[in-house]
Amino acid sequence: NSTLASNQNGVNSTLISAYKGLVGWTGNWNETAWGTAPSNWVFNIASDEFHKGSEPGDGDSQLAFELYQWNPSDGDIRSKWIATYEGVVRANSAINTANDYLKNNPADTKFVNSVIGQATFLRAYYHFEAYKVWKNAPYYLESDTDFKKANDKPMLPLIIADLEKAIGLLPANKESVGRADKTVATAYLGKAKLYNKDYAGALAAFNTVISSGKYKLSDCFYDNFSIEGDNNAESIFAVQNSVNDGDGDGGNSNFGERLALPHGDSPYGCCGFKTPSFDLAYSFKVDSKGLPISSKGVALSRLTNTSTDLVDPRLDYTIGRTNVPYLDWGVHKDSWVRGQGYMGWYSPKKNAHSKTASTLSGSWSGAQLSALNVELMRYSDVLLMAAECEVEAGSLEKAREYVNLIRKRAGNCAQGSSSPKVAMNAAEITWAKYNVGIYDAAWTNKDVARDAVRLERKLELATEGHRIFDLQRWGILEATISDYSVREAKLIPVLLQAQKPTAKNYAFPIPATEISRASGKLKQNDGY
Amino acid sequence: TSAFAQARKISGKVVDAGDGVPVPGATVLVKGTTKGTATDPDGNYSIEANSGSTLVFSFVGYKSQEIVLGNQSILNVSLLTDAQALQEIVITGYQQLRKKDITGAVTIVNSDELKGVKSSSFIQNLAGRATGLTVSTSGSPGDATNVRIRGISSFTSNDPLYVIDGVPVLDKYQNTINPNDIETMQVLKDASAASIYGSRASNGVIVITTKQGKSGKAKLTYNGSIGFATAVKGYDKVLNTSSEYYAEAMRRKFGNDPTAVPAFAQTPGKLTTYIQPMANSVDLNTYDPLTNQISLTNQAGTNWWDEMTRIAQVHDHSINLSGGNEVSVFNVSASFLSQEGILNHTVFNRGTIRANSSHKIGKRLKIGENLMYAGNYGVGIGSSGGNNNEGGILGELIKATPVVPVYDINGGPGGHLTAQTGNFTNPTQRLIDNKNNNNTYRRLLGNIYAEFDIISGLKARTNFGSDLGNGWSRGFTYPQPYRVEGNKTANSFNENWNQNYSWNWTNTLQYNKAFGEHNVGVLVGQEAVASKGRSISGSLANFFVTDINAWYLQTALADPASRSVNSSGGESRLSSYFTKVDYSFNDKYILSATVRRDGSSRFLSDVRYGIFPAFSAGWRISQESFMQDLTWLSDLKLRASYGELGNQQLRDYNFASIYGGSVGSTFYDINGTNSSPSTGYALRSRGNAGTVWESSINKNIGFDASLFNNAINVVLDVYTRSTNNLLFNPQLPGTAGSSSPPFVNVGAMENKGFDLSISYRKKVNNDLGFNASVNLSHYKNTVKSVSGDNDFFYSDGSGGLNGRLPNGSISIINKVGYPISSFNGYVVDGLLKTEAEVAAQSGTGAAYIGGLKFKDINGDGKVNSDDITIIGNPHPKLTGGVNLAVNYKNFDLSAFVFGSLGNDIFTGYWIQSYFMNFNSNVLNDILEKEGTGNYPKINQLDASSRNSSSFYIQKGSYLRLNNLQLSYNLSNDLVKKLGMSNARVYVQGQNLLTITKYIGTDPAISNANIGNSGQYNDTSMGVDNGNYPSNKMVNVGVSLEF
Repeated sequence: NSTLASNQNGVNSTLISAYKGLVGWTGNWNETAWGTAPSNWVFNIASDEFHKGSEPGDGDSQLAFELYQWNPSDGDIRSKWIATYEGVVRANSAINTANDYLKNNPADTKFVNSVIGQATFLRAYYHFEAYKVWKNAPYYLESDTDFKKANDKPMLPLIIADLEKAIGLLPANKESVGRADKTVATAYLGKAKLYNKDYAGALAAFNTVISSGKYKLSDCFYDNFSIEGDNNAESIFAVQNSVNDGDGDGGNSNFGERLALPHGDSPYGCCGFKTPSFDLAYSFKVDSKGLPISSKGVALSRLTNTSTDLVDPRLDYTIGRTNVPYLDWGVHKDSWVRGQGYMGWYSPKKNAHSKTASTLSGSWSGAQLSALNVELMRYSDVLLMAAECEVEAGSLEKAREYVNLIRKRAGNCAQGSSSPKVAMNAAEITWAKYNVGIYDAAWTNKDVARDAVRLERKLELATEGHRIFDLQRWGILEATISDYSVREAKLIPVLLQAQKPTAKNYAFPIPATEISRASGKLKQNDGY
Repeated sequence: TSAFAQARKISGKVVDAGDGVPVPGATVLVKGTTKGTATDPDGNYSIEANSGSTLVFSFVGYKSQEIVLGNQSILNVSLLTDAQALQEIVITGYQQLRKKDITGAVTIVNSDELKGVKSSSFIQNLAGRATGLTVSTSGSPGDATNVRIRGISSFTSNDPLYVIDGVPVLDKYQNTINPNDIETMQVLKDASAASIYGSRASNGVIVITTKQGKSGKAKLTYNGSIGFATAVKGYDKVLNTSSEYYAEAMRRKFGNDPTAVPAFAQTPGKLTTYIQPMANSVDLNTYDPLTNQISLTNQAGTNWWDEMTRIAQVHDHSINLSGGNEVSVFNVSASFLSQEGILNHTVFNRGTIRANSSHKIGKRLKIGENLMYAGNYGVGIGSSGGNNNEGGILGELIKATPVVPVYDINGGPGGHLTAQTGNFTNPTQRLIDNKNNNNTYRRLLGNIYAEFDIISGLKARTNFGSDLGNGWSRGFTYPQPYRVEGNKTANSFNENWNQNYSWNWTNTLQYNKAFGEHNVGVLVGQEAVASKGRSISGSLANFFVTDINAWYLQTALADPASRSVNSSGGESRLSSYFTKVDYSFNDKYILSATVRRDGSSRFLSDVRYGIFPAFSAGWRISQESFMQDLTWLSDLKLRASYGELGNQQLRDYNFASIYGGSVGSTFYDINGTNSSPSTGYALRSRGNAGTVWESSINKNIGFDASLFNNAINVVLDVYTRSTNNLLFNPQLPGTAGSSSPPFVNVGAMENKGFDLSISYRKKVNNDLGFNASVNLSHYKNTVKSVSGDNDFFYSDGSGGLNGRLPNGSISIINKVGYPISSFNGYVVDGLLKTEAEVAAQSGTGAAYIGGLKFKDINGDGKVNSDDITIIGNPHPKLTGGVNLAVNYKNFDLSAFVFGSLGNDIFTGYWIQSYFMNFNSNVLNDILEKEGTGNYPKINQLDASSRNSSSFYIQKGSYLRLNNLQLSYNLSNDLVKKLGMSNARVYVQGQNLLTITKYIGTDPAISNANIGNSGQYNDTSMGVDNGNYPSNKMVNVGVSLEF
């Protein structure tokens, strides 16, 4: 790698490979692509948002997430571990290469600072992924050479320190659309502090992002999930996917997400995983003012196209329902649902590409692979996290303002039959009665406000990979899942086998292989 | 001696001195000339010779006899059998040895034994012929073969080294050689025999000597045969072919939720009229071959195996011309083999040309060469042998359900867009689509050598060998509207080319001298081997025309954005010195010592060289005076050997960390272009500078005994082989990322075993004789160490059907104290009967009453992954072969039976065929079995029972009539009338009968091409993932000699 450090291109190429880690998949066929998926959809099967999907026998280890029976030898958990630390290794390699370069080019500090700033940010990002999943995982710096390191130090302070270091080095603005800059790192600093329950610190970071004026909510909610909307003003940080780029397997596409598309005679062909729950669909019901109705404790049923209930238009951008247009592909059909009711009747939608997106030519799964970005942090996410902080700070009205911004935007457009983006009240909409309203009344009760923010977060960011980690950090996993699981099992009998969540489910287990390879230095999470 | 003596005709008869039976084929030579002849089938000969000249009579197994001619014109000779054991000369380890001087474990296989046996590679017929040798291959023509000599000693490659006329070759296919060209094969099993080949000999060596010309008149031979093959047992004998039976299985599978039963199977006894779409009436006008196929239900049931297979034809022709004189001899052959696969449209063709000659220049110099060209052409089924995954053609067959017809209503391939009728892709159409996806392999293998007799007993030899292989393959994937997972509309094409080249140069000096009763032999030698390889592959998709004439990687023909091109390469070198000293006293005490020093480019310079010594001793105890009274004992030799062997089968450049990358693994679209990622570079392989040679310590003791005047021969060897510093690339902690781990010296393994062979030969009279032999082999493999941190590792998923088990990734384990590739899982203890039992087992996935009950091994009251244990062993306790041969007048009848005893098979494909994963087709007795004994109820929601457990373990013992052959030698008179010197016709059957309790298609599971990258086969053995069954074959052939 002294060759790599001899010029800027070489240094930059090591940094590029560190960004590639965001895709998750790095061509290691001993891993499952699913566990490496940047949306963490496998882990979110454990949440109340969606099910494993497919049919019995397909992905039994993922069924274990559904049933709260996952264990340390699960292949997806191991794949996430390896993919995450591959990102760390590459980030550290970029830092080392940049420092080598600096020795011969001492004047080129601007370039080196930018590279080290980006690599340090990425290192923090990957460790944050490790924190989200395992809570207790080792932290690797560029000077580390022993791959057997204890997981006995709190991770969040280290992540925060790296992010603060990165903010000091990063350029003010992105050098290209996929890169990190000061603002991106600041947004993640806020998120890390929020996870660390430092609400004031988090809020300060979020306020920096908000006041930078660099980001705004896109006009239409759907813009965040269309290929045309990739990198719009709402996208703070996203996985930059590509197809037909010289890799016949589509390794830079939505590789780890591709099971999560409709099956059968749908345009994608495969594979019918990640089927949204009846509970999630219900959560989009609104009252006559357009405000959400809590699904807690209610009996569930399938929300069909003939239902007369009022619903938030985000429902049909989040969930594929039969006889409702599915983006620009025509109406969703029952025959698109694999397993025919085994895991419900809905299809995932946010990660599905439209007809206008080009897909991979060739490969067995070409029709499933597109360049649609995977959103890692959207501005609406920042607003909702800021709202959480405001609630904790007691500024309930500020929180309401942020939530209303998001709810107002939700009413700007809806799935249509002529186009995926029509007016919410367009005459062509016959499959739903859309309505979404803002909270008019002042928020005066902290608990009510907190619940409203959390519910909005569930609706706005549904199926995007946040829910299980939110339930864990809010400490409401047992209550939420216990309630959900019983109601959902009325329609999905396999859930009757589910075990009750317990304290151990607040973290996923360290992979058994890693425990055994670390010469006793890694401690398994409690309860596993 | 009179210069003016008149040459005259001498004739006579050569008989066995013991029983007076004529000896056909004995050589009669006028000493000091090239003039010679052979006795005819009645032992008669005639030759022209001068008075005073010496006639030499010789034949294998007899002492040669020299008689000085007087005035007689008739000379009858009685040959004495060589009581000292056979005088055969063995060409082995760079030298010629008398077989009786061999003190190592060597088995000699005469190619005559394999005559008539048809397969694409000669090594496929070695099973049971040589003790200590196990062979696994599939019925797929041209497929790779795993040959294992005395068990398994490495986690990496365990393939033996082949030395073909002095050219070392590592190649598990060996399908470029015409078996008719082989004269003899020697299997060198222990260190003292193999160590002279040093570093690459740790898995044993198979030395192949091809036919060489003999002086005398030119001889033309033709061998030809035609044969017909089917599977030893078809999948239709294992899998159900009835639609109603399948429908009933579906109803039971969805028993807990009748509404979920697919529409076609809802009403017992009445399937829907159409299966696609599933209804009783369908608007036929909506038919569209791409988006709406319409298929009638096959009410009776489709026998997919029957639709996919055929009686395959095998043609084999080979012609050989040899001859020469005292100065030069030559041998030229040509052959053509065409072996159809039993699966439609698959084939393996081979053409070979071989030529060799040797020439004496003056009295001391001999120069010769061997040259072989082979061209192979094959159409296979992609996934090879035993390693079938669910997307492979046999995987599709296993999933294929009888309700789906072969054709849709319009004559196109029967289609099915919903998973409701089985998640499979019409396997008959897959075979049709595959028929032009061929591969070719061309090989040029040869050597040139010179031998110089410096002084009497001192010989110098130099040999330069070269091996050039060229492989090419192409594959086109058509749109598959008949595919269950949607129509794959984009076509694609890939093309691969690779070239491997190696050369070796060997120089030896050999000195042999007898000093009275002391025999001394010294060999010193030097060898250099270099090999390099290079490959390039590319693919392109969305071709405008799919015609075969447009199958080129040209962007004008397809979508340029889909282009993908890669190339790679590597090289390695070996430099070696070796010496061997042989000493024998009075043919009674035999000592031999070998030492070889190898330097390999795969190790860094300071640890590059390995030194591998070996010693052996023999004691011909029967020569001792105190044994002379034992008249029943003709010969007894005790042998013992000790030796070390090296192994350097690791990747090139292992000492270095390799940075690099590819579009899919390191590039990233940082600019958000959706199609033009920026170049990224990352660590892809971690190196280890300290990796050194793997070495194994081999100990062997044995004896060779001949009893009752050589009527009975017994060879017994007992051995241990301990491998240390075993090269392996254990996974690093995941915190090191996903780059490949380096090979390091971490493992250790041990093999213990014995090889026994007993043969009996009896000549009753002139017309009747018979012989019988039994070979028995046993080995026990034990893993001793796998890495510094762990005492086990799981075999990486072979990508096979067993990977579909919920815990499939742990189903094969390599654990200290157990044999490599042990089966791992739960232990079944009946079926779950109570809710309490179900609750206790919740840690194994969703469990239900009627499902498998697993044993609580650790007794903690819960059944979970802590209760997983080793449940099976794929290694046979005993393998053996029995050869029987009877000759009566002109008829010869021979039979060969092979048996494997005590091995387990993991029926990976039962995840489909029992548990109906993806609504797959079922075993043909599932309805009778499910819910009884240890057979769980079929239940779509039951994930627990699907786990790896002893449920999947079946006994794999079998006994197979591998070969049965009847041949008839045409009578001498008739042969002569036809202008020939010999003519034989035969009919031969292969694998005609198998006795086994194994209910799959074939207990002889191939584990070639299985495992990580198809290389580390032995960590994934004994798994039936939809095995390609062996062929049952009948051949009729002739062998003519002019």
